[in-house]
Amino acid sequence: MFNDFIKHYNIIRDILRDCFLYGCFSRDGLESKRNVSSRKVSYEMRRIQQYVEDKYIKIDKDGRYKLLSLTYDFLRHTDNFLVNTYMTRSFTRTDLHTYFFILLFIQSQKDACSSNTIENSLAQEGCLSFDRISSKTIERKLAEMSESIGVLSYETIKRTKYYSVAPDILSQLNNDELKELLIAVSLYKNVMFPVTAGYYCEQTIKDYLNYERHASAEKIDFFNYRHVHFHPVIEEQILWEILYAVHQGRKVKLNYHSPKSQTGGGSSKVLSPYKIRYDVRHGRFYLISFSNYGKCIVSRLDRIENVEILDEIFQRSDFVEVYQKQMCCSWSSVSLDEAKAPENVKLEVVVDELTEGYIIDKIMNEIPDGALEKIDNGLYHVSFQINDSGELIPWIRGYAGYVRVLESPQLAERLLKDWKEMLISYGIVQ
Amino acid sequence: MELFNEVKNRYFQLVFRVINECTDGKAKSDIVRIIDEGEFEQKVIGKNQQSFADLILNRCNEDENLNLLTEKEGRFYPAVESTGQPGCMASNEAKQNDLPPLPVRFTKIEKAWLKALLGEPEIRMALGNKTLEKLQKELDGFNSPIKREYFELTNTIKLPEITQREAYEKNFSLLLKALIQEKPIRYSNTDRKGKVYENMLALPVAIEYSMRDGRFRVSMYSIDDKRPIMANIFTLSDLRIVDEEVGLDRETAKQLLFEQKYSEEPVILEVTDRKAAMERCFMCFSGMERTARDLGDNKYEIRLNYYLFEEENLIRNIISLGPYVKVASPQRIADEVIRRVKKSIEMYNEKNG
Repeated sequence: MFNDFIKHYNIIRDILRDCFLYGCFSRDGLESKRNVSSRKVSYEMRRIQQYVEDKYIKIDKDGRYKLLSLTYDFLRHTDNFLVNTYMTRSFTRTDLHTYFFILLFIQSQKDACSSNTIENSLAQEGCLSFDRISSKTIERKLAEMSESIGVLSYETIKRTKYYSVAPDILSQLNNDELKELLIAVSLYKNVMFPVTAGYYCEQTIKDYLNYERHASAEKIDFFNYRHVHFHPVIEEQILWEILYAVHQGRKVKLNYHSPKSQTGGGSSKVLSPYKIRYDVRHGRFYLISFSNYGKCIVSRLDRIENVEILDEIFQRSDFVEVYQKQMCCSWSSVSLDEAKAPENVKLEVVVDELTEGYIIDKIMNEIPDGALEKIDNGLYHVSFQINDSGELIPWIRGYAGYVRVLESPQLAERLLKDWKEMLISYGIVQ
Repeated sequence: MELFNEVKNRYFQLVFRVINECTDGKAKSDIVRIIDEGEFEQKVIGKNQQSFADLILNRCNEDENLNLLTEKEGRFYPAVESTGQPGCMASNEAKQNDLPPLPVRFTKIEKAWLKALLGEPEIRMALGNKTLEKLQKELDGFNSPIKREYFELTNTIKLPEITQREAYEKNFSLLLKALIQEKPIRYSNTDRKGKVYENMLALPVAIEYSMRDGRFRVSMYSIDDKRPIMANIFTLSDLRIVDEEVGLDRETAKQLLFEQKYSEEPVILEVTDRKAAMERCFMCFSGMERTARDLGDNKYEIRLNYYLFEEENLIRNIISLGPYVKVASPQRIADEVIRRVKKSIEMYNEKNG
């Protein structure tokens, strides 16, 4: 009906991510970075500007270039504005007509109705024109509304389906309990994946209070979040498809895209999707799956273009042990190579015992299964294992001035090189 | 159902709301107002330049009008309705039972999420037993693909277990109540250094959840100290809601937090985009107001506005990003980064030399 909407979320996914994460690329800059046409970039940027509220959009100018960025402040803005970009799927006039007329009609009836009754009644009243909408279309919409969306339910009697409004699971809750539920949903909507579903849920409860109970829902703005990133929502359509496959025990094929190439990188590998790992620090989703040969495959969700869910099934229980073995010593996403053992790491931590004792607690809280040994006053050793010490480097850097690597020498060398390079970048040569 | 589904399209939802708002008839101006409030700021335009309001109010030609509403004596009603008037269905169970013209029901995705919510370990702090039990019973047979066992959170902080769960949960409920009623509280607390604060007066501003450590904390405005503070919920004792006049409301307290704690000057970083430094940088600072520009030669400038209480974390994050991220200003922060890096090198030199 409107050109403003899109059929597939993937159409805006990459550009949305670039605008959100970077915001420093002009149309031309994005064009060269992503290897897509300037027309497409400009078109999709316009869409994003339409979908996202003005207060989150920043437009700067750099010479003749216009720079679009999406930005927020974690304390002032607690609603994830990127969720709005999911409320943009295109629909046809027939989609709209059939959905609402079917729902209006079924709600107005005392008894469940067959597809024929619905069709004939709506035709008699002149609500739907059957020059345009066929019986098959009505049947398809009824199937979608009951089996896929779930707002209708049906009972089959003598091979005929009789449709009614889906049971009301909130009917037993009084208004105070509904408001309590709304508060709980409001609290968790930003932290339980997929968060988009949480936002949908919140809106439905508000609508329910309003239209089914004629009660108002007060604004809930008393929750704040730390370390909650907004950008992972961009990958939630893919996440949802993967979750479905994980839950059904169905194997998948993943098609990746490369940011610099227009041609999608296909994957012929058949994988058993096992677990989603979410790196809280960076806000990144990873899928851990296993190939038919038992190899552990780690895939970043932002690099997956689409998921092909196969009919072939797998047993989740087959991967419990191997997952534990390969991922237990990973801080984020690096799996343990076959025939390799985790690396041993030993750190020396030096603090002022009186004023900086909390640093030791902090470090120990951040290291999974670390062992602490007090060597002297203000001097500690911390030992642990990790699949790949490369994963540790950013974390160790964050404790600059407190931590020295004792084991392994290679890791120590890498860090020392980093420190020296950092000083050089500030113009200091030691 | 796909997460990206047309029934969740903003305009689909708007149609839903308009129809339900018209139960008892609505004037054209009221409908236009509802549409104005629900539309995108940049409105959609149909193929023949019709506005969405034109389509809903049947102001286009007959082929284009949606006809989901019927006009009667200057007011608009749902097209399928019960008054026995033309264009309306005969029976009308909904009207008789005071039901809306369109029922409000969860979709399957929402039910899946809701069922997962009921399994969250700390859900009892926000949901009463009765509510929880009723929902659990309703969703008992529902097969949700959202399960905790399918996820693992990494790079988290594992804090020691809270031993006094009961007090923690009781405090949480009380603080939530204080926030809903916008009432001040009195409490006692002991800080990290062992200093005891007794019978303190504060106005709760928000409950804060940290995804890294999974802890709830309370953000308050201390009336005694006249400043915003943050406290662990489980360490508060003798907590109670009071009816005292505190001279400010929650919104003002929030504004004070924003104003008093926001840095006057941004941190400006110069990033060389090697080893995905830009991406790592933006991911790290995604919750901060920021702007960026291309300096050419694979270098970028990023300006970050931050809260003063976040400065230590900010410095640590900047250093953790490594050699390709440099503080251009303020000099004070650049000096602190240099000091820590020099200290790190000294630690190695001392041992080796």
